[in-house]
Amino acid sequence: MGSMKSAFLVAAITTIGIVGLIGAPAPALAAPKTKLTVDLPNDVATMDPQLQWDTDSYSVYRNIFDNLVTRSTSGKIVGQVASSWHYTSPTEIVFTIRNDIRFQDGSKLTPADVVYSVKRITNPAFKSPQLSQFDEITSAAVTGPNQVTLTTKTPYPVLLAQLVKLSIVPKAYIEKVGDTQFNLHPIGSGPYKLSDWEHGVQSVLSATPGYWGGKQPFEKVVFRVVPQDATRVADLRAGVADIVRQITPDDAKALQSDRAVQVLAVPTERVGYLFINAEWGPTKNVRVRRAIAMAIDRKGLISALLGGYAKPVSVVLTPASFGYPTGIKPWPYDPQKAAALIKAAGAEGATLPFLTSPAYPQNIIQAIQQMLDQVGLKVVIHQMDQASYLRDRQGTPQEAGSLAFGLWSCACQDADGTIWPLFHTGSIWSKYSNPAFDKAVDEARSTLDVKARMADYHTAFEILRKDVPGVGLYQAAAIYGARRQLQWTPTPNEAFFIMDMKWK
Amino acid sequence: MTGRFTPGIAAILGLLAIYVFVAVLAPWIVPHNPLRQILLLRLRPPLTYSPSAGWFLLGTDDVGRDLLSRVVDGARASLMVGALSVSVSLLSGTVFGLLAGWFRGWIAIVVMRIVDIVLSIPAILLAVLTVAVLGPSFANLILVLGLTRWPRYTRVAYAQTLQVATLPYIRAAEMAGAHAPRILLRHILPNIAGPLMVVATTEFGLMILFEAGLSFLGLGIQPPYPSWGSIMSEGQNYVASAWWMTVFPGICLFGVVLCVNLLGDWLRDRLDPRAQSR
Repeated sequence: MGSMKSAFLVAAITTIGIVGLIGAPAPALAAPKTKLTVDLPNDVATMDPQLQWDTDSYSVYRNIFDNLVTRSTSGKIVGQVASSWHYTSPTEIVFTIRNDIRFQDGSKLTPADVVYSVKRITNPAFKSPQLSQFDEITSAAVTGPNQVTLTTKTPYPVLLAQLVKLSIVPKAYIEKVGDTQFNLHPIGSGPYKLSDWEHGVQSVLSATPGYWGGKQPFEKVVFRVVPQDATRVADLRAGVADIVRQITPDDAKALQSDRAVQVLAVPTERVGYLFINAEWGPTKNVRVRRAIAMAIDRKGLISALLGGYAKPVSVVLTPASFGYPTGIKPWPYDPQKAAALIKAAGAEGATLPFLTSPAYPQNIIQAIQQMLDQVGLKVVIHQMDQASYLRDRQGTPQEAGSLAFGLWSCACQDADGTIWPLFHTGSIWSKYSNPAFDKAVDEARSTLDVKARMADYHTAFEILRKDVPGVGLYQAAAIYGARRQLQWTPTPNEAFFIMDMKWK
Repeated sequence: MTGRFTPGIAAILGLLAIYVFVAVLAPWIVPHNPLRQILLLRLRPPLTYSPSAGWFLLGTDDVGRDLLSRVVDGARASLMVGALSVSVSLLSGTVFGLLAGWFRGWIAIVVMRIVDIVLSIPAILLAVLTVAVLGPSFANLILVLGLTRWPRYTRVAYAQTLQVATLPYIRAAEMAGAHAPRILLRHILPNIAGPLMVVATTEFGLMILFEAGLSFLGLGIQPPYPSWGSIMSEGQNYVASAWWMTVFPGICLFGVVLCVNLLGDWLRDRLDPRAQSR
């Protein structure tokens, strides 16, 4: 009996083995993959495109919605829902709206939807975190068949750059179901529609049939939530994920030896900077702030901790944005001079609270701490959860601590979206006030004259260099890991449009 | 394990003594300054030698600090958190339990309902909230851990006090004119100390793990000062490329928690009168 049993077992194993051998090459012969799996570090905060604009949320929802205008892969602003536009006066701009776009519920996208989208996001009661990007718009109206006119308070040069982020939402649907239902079951006019959203696990998008912008490269896209950097990289290596967002420079280096994957990196408009409180504590003294600027070894930070992926910047802005000045030199790295300056200012051994949260790169913060300790300051890191950190950082000068590290992007590629909120008197981020600076950046945001704006920003950055309410450190790189077969070029504004990707 | 003093328990005590010894002497025995960064020598594997800086026996971390020095120095923070937070919660929990068990009535009702409430709140949530409100610091960390854990001792102390308070010798002491504080401290406390000590030993390991959890969330020991939890949380992104950053502090944590739990096991048997009479 026993021998018969084992003979049967051997036969069974052999059969499975043979079947396995035959089966093995099958996946390679199968039709090209129609599913794309993406690993994101965080879950989508909301699917409502007008409520949240963190990078993970908009990586997903911008594939569900179309924007009024968009940026081409080369960075130029081109039409999307609007086919063309022209200024009728410095404060009035007329958009022609395409008439062949349909929402995913079959209804037609009309100029009324565009007007509704603008009014919804600019309504203060709606409390959109993007409000400050659009509040220069005072009115939106349908002014003809397929025509929408936007009016701004003053001539507003950044309008088009901001409108790149204006997703067009369906008026009739939202008015029928309300904001909460719309967030859970969004309907847009984009290439993909949401078919499933498991909070904290994944969101699944499927291609909209008959999309006006052309055929989608994948039938189905799965965005998975994978918070651990190491796990995202492991998923990529194992082939579980086809593309992963946000990998560390260290992992990028390690991935370079893997033939099945590729590292896609692009310098972004995101600037790594050190905030210095000019209105409270030891850093109230401008000499201390200058000393801090001279104590930081940008190049050392970049080559050691960022694997050379980032590029040094001379101001708190990146060259990917309009207004980046030429000819302004940063304070030179000179620890001896910095130490002497601190001694002269009587700030030797002064305690500087450095506010931060686990959301920021710890190694960079601790390296900065050591660099400042070496020139005679005493930097104390206060690590909090992100919500408490933001509360204090945006609070009064007393609450904001002496230092903080930030990675800033306005997704508008313009100096107005960076130095205005960071340093203008009265802004929640600003712990600094200089009327001359305020005048320059206010003027730069209210003229359409490109040359005059450039000159204003040059003046503004010269003032910032002198006053040092912050130090520009580096232009951050967006680093993605992808299967080698995936063809895609990442952009400086960190857009994640599935339509731009395809299998080779 | 029986209550007898075996070679096994001697080994455990010995190991714990080494831990304490290393923690106390940390500043004098670390081979490098645990805070000193050498960015050019970051993420080096164990047994790295650099002609300028010397040996890095356990390798270096992500900003080029000596891992061995950080693990040794981190023992201080981790063990101190364990010992201090257990003391705080043991002391406050026992006092409340004793009072509730002795006076009974409305005092017991109030205390035990507070205990129920605190126990029903997830401890990690309460800790995150408290640190968020009070701000992160070593004293607050101890306070938080003490505040969230005292009910465990109160429950035990309360039940034990109720039991002991009805025994004839307590009645006798009362009739002899002894005051409540004297009875509680001299006659009841020694009789309920055994079970409380056992709870304390299991809590000790938990507290160290808890601090590791809070460090992991960025709320425990503040950088750049090391604790085992914070070293591991800094190493979490390098598990694949620099395993040593998480493995070595992990082994230390595992060792001390295991030792203390085994010690608690042994104490329980030793202090249990029935086990001894067998």
